[in-house]
Amino acid sequence: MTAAMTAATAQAVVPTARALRWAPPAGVAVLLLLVVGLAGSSGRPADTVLAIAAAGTAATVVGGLHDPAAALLAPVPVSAMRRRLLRLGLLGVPALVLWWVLVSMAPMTVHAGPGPLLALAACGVAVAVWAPERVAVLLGAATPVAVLAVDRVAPAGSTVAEVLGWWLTDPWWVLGAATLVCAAGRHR
Amino acid sequence: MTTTAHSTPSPSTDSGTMLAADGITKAFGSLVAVDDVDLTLGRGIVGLLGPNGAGKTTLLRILATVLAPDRGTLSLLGMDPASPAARTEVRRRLGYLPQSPRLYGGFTPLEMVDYVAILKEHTDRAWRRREAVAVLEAVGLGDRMHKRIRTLSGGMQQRVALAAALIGSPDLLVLDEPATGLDPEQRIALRSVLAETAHRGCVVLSTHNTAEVAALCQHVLVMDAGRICWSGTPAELAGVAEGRVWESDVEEPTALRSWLTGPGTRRHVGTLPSGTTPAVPTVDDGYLLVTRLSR
Repeated sequence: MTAAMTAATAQAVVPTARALRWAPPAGVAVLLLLVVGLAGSSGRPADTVLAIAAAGTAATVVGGLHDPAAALLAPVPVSAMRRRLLRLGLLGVPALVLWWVLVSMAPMTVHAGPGPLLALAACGVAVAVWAPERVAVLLGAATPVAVLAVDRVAPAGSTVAEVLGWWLTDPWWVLGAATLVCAAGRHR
Repeated sequence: MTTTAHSTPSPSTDSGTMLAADGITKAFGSLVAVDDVDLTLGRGIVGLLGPNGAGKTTLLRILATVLAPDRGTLSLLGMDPASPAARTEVRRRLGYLPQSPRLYGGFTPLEMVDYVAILKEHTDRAWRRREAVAVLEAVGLGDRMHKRIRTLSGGMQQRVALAAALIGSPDLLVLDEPATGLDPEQRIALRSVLAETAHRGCVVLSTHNTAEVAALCQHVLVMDAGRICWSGTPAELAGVAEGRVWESDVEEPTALRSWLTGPGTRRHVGTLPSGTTPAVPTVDDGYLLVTRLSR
């Protein structure tokens, strides 16, 4: 990466943050805080609620890749992947803070670390990178929710359930694989 | 200017080649949007005419490095955009206005143009500010540069996007229907801005407005069904209809195309009936004839 590109990316942080639509993530955060707070106050394990929260948070982060001015910005030297990473960084930090708060509100959960959230988000980003342009962000944002939904309805012990459960059982491997898929599409 | 197109002899060259395409093809599934297009363009303004679905936008997106062709080779400003490093270099010297561009409604025009300038790697803030103000003034938005974009009219938003394309004095300017939403005064202002850019670089624009082409472009490419079916100057395009356009009060079943004019007479293009006086041809007539004959 050239010095000019690094400087440009650094200078783009503030305007990119302003270009992001913060109302949907804020709405999702409030909703999740309420739901997890209620589930936590019951004193029962809140794994299902947290799984839904992970998918919801991941979907919201991936949804932040939607850029209304994408067509105008398509042929700028700062690549689409770099602009995606900028958006993900800006949304990812508050998402991780939210996740930490949610986990601390829910007693007796298996979702202790950020791994499951990062794995689901990375899968969504990988889909968004490779999906057709017009539906890329939509499909990417739907991916975490779809993974969770199919994981929940797949017959227990089946191969499908096992594979789709990797985001929970082996999140760092899933994150690594999804990152590689994203890296392979870095020029897209 | 240097301008050649598929199946058209190369005119003499008086400047360097800025854009060269050889056998460019792009398909979306079974639909071939751009079919074996050859182009060589130098400095100046080139107008791309064609009916809806002719492949103009796809061709412009390829020329703007937004889309990669499925086949063929492309050279932009002497570089091959298929290579990521060369593509980035081309993009530093490229301006692009997409069809119906969307902007950030919460930004002001100045902020929007400044943001595009940052992403074009113009990192000197003072220079960027001066340049953003200059291009916004050039497109007639000097007095609106601090208003929120969402409060501006469609034509003004189009001019903000045009200003964003112009920032950094690009050598290659690719504009997809730049005059959409502009009133006559704004169109004239646009012509001045583009004429200035064309002194130092190559401007390729698509339009449905033949009057715009006649007033602005040194060269015209007519596209139909993904192919360049005609190439020449606006005067030559009008000349295609020389002796093949006439007016009458009645329908002419032998005409290739007929339409009612403002004064109530009918204008026709096609084979002139014997004994009929031909009308003075326009770029519109030539365009209609070319697109009819290419099918």
